[in-house]
Amino acid sequence: MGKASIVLTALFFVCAALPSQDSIISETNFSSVIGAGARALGMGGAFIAIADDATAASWNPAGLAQLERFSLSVVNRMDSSRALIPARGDSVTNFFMGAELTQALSYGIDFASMTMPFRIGKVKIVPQVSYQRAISFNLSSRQNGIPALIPDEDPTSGEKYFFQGNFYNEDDFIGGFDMLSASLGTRLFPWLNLGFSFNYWMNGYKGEQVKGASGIFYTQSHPDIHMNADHEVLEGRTFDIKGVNFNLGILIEISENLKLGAVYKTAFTADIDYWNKTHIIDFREGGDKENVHEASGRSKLLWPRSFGLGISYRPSDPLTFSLDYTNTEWSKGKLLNYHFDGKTRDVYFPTLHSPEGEGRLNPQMDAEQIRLGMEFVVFGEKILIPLRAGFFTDSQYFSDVSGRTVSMTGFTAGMGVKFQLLSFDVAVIYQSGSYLSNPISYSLDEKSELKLYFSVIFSI
Amino acid sequence: MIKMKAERSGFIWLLLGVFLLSGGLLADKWYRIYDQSLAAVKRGDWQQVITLINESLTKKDKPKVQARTVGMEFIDYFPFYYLGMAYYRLGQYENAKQAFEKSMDFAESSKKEEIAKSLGNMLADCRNQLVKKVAGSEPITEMVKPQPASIETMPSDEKKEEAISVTYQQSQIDVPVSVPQKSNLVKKGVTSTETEQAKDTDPLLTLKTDLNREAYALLKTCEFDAAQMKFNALLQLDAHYPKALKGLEKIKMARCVIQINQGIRLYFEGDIDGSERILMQALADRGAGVLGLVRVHQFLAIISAERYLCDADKNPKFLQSVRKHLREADTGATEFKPDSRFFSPKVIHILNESK
Repeated sequence: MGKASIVLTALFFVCAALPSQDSIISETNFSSVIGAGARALGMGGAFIAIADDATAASWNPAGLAQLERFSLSVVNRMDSSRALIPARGDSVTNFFMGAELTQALSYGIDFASMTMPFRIGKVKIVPQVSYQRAISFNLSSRQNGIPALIPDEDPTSGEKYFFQGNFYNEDDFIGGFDMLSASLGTRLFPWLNLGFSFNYWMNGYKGEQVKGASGIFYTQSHPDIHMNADHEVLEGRTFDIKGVNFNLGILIEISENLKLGAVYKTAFTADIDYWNKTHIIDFREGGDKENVHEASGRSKLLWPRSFGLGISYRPSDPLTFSLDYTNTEWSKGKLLNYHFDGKTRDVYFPTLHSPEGEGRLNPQMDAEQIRLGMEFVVFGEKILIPLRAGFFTDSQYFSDVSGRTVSMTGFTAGMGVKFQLLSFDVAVIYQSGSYLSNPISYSLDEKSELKLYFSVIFSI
Repeated sequence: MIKMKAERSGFIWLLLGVFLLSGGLLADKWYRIYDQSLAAVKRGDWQQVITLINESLTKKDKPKVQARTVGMEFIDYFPFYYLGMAYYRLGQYENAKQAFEKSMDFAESSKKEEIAKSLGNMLADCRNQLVKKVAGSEPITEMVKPQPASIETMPSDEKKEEAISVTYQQSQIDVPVSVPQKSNLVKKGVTSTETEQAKDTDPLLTLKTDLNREAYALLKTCEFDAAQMKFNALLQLDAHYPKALKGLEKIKMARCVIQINQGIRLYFEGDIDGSERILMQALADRGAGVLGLVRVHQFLAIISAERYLCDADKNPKFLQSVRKHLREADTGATEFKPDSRFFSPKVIHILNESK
């Protein structure tokens, strides 16, 4: 292996070792495209068979039919996340590179709605208009590598490589995929509620990423050839969505205490306007070299369908248990004719990996979530104090390098105060998981995320 | 393809049809019906209350404190309480008794002492009414719809005018709250937001407010017996209910004023004995207020003067009586000047001489 090819290989592996902006964003957001509201999220997000407050349409539009009063709601979100790729010792390769990623606190309105129940004769109709930030891209993260030795092996030659150095990664993104929804719920029978939502998807994100590495690269067969591998990659990107889909919901009240719910969110094809620019600066010996790729255009995004099933049980009026299962067909999430890095191709969305397979990346998979929650209401003199807790498992749409399904688990807790016409709720969500994300690190990424939600609901 | 589109279109229209035609199949939840029944309670539409409460009981048959409705909404569900109240108001005491007994069990078990006390009073009254009904001493219908007062106490239209007129006059001097002010009180009770909000959660307060409102409405139309019955019921619920105490005081005063005017009328009709008897009774009752008593003493002085003039022996006790009543009538506020158009010069002379 010549010196030049060693350098190129080094550059490739170092770049691959750094998490891309999409993986950072997507892994923390996309698999959990669910409803909104601190009350529901405090219950682990198991709300499909409850959906009985002003956030109902975001979980199950059929739940709207339960509402009796004019309501206004606003939900605010604060979140931060942390990912740790630990350095790990090994008897053969000594040390692996580690990294720590921290995402700064972001804040924004997550949901707002207005609900206006009315009756035509005996027919109860409950319309709602709402805004929801379906997927937030607000991100300001800093990732710093922990100096270490990275080993790898060329699959064809069996040659072992080593990179000893450091890397860094800075992301600053803002925006999100938003939904404007018009929903309608109605009660057909005392035990049967139906509902639907018309969702207009809009907005998107923009931002930039700076990532780089510096260090020494060498091979096992030529340990005497040490190559500097200093380089920096600048990426800029905008990504805007426009599309329409529908949510259909059903809520069956088997008894006063037992309810079943189901919701189906239709697949849709969205228009994507994108722009991206990649600027690679190579500081290796022999002078700086630059490599620039820029692309923009309109693409089609195949957003997958999803469905959810839920059951809620209320053994007594203050106490409620709920369980949800949701499935999103991310295996069919595709971005068509996407131009990036000088190539135009169909890629999976949101990972942006090619379905044909590039390197050692696995295809996207359907995401599944199981959510469990409970709520207990304490009666005060003039106020109600609900206490909530929940647990969920979040099976991701991407797999680790070995093809194993990546699953995150999370705990939620929440409480609220209801005084006369106003309800204040707060929920905290902690989600964590570990998996092998990088083909050359052999180390488990440990990711954790902390989110805080506040809701205010005003009902007349 | 066309066939598929047609089938799909047909399915959508079928769904739409089901949606629109399903109105007849709809039925409200228990809390919605219960809410409507509470609105009927506020309106005093007791027959509607019975219908709605019975309908809500078919869907939720057990009362409950803090029963969950929708989301974070909880209400106190007291169907038997309001059912009993409705029967009570309609004079159906047997039904009311049964409903109150059911509600009493629940109120006691849920430690709702105020409600239990209120229920106890109403239950006791139901039993009394049933006993009276069996004994035949009082027709139930008198409680059903407050009938005009009995012959003895029922004021004629003229008397009503007199009574109200005199009451107004009285109130301007020594009664702090006049009849129009009573209606203001009622109005205030109805529109007070605080009271209305409290009523939503306190059935006892609802009952008190309703009884008070009805009693003052009856008082305003001079249906004193019926008003008195309401005030007494209020005092059964709350022995110190100030509006009820004040209302009874006003009834007593209004009755006394009517009595005085009746006595005065008899004087002018020539029934001196009858007039004296009634005015003496009004004096003994002491319910007429200061101005009423002044009038009573003035007319008793006039009657004593008439008796002196008619007495062949010219008994001086009549003159003493004249002086005594004139002294009592002299409040220092106004001078007594008998009108010569209504009284004989001799009577006026005696009165003037006796001052």
